[in-house]
Amino acid sequence: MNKQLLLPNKCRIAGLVLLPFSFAWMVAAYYDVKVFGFLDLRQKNGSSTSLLDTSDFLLSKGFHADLNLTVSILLTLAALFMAAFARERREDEYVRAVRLQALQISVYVNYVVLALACIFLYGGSFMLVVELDLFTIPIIFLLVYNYLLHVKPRFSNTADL
Amino acid sequence: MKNTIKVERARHNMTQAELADKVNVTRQTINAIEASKYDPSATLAFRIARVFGVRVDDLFSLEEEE
Repeated sequence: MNKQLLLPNKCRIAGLVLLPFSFAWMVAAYYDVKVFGFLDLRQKNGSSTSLLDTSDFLLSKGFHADLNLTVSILLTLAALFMAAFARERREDEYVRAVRLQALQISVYVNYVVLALACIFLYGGSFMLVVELDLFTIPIIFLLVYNYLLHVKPRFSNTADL
Repeated sequence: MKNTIKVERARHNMTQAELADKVNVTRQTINAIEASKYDPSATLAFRIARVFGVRVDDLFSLEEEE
């Protein structure tokens, strides 16, 4: 992977710090808990609460939605992105190879989940899985990357630390 | 690809971390190369060989099925 396209190393810590807060906010918003009341534009317009309502476009005239969910999803994605795609302190060819391998596995998992949802789920359940599938690439990437780079070598009998 | 990095390290009384510092890679990289889980680039192979003062083909060799 191209080193120039990665974020600075400090972004990893920032992402990992931001992640629990944004994730908790996202779960709360999903269950309609108003963490930041001023972001809930439904009250002002008194209209539908459905996330799949076609009138729920940000630029439409009668816009009505709870932006708590929108902003918390964006923050969670940003936090995951920062944690996943920040440079290591020392980047080398092996780290790049591991990053590419982890990215490949995470994309495959993403497609498998999507394919299984297409086959087995319909309607609202399908949409829920597609929404959650947004997070599989960075989450699986983080798990595989850290396992291959930091956890697995500790159990290797060639490690001398 | 087989290699004798571990033997050379022992001969030079050097840890994986020390070798990693000398060739400017991570310790995990040296660990993966030693375990034959990762084949280094030609540049890195030459750098490692230079640290030990040996030729690259003394340090690395192809396994029979390769």
